[in-house]
Amino acid sequence: MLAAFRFGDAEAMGALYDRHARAVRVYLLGMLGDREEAEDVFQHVMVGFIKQAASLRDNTAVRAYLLASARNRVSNLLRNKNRRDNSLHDYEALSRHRDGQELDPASSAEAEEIRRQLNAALAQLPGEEREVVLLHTHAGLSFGEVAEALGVPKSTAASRYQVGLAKLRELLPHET
Amino acid sequence: MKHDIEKLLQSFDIPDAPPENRRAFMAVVRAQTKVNAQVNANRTSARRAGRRLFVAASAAAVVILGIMLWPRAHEPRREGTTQKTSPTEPAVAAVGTIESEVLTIQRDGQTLELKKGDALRLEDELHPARRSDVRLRDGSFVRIDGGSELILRRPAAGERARLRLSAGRIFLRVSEASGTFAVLAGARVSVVGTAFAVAEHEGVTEVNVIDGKVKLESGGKEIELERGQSGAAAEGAAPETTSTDPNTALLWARDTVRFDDRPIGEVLDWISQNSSYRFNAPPAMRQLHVSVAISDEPLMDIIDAVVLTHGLTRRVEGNDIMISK
Repeated sequence: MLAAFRFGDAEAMGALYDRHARAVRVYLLGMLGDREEAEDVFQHVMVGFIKQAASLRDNTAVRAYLLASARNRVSNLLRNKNRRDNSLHDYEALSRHRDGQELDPASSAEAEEIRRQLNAALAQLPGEEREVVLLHTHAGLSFGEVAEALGVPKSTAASRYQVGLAKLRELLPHET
Repeated sequence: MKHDIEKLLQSFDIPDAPPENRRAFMAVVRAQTKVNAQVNANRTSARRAGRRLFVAASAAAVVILGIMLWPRAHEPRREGTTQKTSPTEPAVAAVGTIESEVLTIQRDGQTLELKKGDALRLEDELHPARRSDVRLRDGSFVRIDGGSELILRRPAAGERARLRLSAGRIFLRVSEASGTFAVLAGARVSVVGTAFAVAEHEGVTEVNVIDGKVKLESGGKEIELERGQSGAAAEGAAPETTSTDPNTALLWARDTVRFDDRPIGEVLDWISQNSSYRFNAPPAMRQLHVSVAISDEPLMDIIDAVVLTHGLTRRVEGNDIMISK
C-alpha cells in the first residue's frame, strides 16, 4: 500500500485509513476521554502519517506506526497540560449503548447509569491498562496485534488486559 | 454479583469517525500525492543533471588543475611567504552577519532590508517578517521567529554578547567561549555554551533547553535549567521550572531535512544534535538504512518511524533513548 501511494495511488491511503483509523480513534478517545480533543489529535496523526508515508519502507507496520504517533501526541498533550492519567475529568470514551434504540425507557436509564459508571472506572485505570483494554474490546485487536502496536511483549499485553479487567470489576458497584 | 466485564464494555459503543473525516483525509492525500510526484520528478532530473554535471566538472577540474600547477612547477621557490587572511572576515564594527536571504532591521531610525552576508551592528533592531537566521561574531547561531523583535545590545562587563528580546521567540546555539551570553526578555537568561530557546509573550519569559545549562533570573531569584528542561518567569516574579517538553516547544525552529536511504546512526546523530535526546544503539543497528523526512512533526514520531522500519524497539528514560531489537 505504501509503495502504491508512493507511485501516485491516492486510494491506497484510503484503504489504509479504512483499515486502521478505527484503532487510532479508539485509542485516542480511550486515552483522552474527550471527543473534540481526540478528534484534533486524530487529524494531526493522520496528516503526519500522510507526510511521512512516502518515506516509510514498504514493510512498515502501519498500525503500529499510527498508534505510536498517537501515543506520542497524547503523552505530549498530557505532559504539557500537566495532567496525569488518573486525573481525567469528564472522561467519556464510551458513548451510547449498542442496542440503545431498542431499550425501553427504564432499561435505557439503567444503561445510561452503567455507561457513566464504566466511563468513571475506565478513567481511573492507569493508561497502559486502559489502552490495552480498549484496543482489545473496541478496536478488535488480538493480543498479538496490541503487543505489536504498543511495542510490548504479547504476554505483557495479555496480563495488562487481565489486570485492567480485574480493576474495572472492583471499581464498579457490585449490584449494578 | 461480579460482572462479565468484557461483555459489559462491548455493549457500549466507541463510534467511528464521521465520513467527512475520511473525505478531509483523502483531500490531504491527493494534495500530497501531487507533491510526491513533483519530488520524484525533480529527483530524477536532478540525478540526470548530476551525472552530466559530474562529467563536466571532472573535465573542468583537470583543466583548472593544469593551469594552477603549471606556473608553480616553473617558478623559483620563494621562502618565507605567508598565507593571506581571508577577505571574507567580518569588519571590526560588525557584531554578526545575516544567514537568511533577507532580514528587515531598524538602524538609526531607518528601516533597512539587509541581505545574506550583510553585517549587523550594535543596537540594530531585528524585525524579521519570517523565520530568519543570524550568525554572531563569536560563532553563536540565532534563529528568530517571524514577527519577533530582537535588539543587539552592547555587552556588559564579563559578557560577550547581549540580546534584548522584546517579543516573539528565538532559538540559540551558543558557541563555547569565555564570557557569558545574555538574553534579556522579561527575565534575564544567561549561558556559556548550549542550545536553547527563549520566548517572550505578554510579560512571560519561557526558556526551553535542549543542550547544556541555562540560568534564568527574575524577581531576584534564579534557577538553573539543564538539558531537556523548561522554565518560565512572569515579569518581576521568581522563575519556575515547567513541564513543557523542549522538543515540542522547539518545533517552530526545526530545519526541514530529508534522509534518503541513510544509516540510522546518521539520522539519530542529527536528532541528537537538534533535541535533548541522546541515543544508545548497538553499532550494527546504526548501520541499517532508512529514509525519513524531518519537518515540523514531533521528534518522537520520527524516531518511531526510524525504529519501526526495521522492527526495532525503543525505550525512553528521561532524555536517553535505548534502541534494541
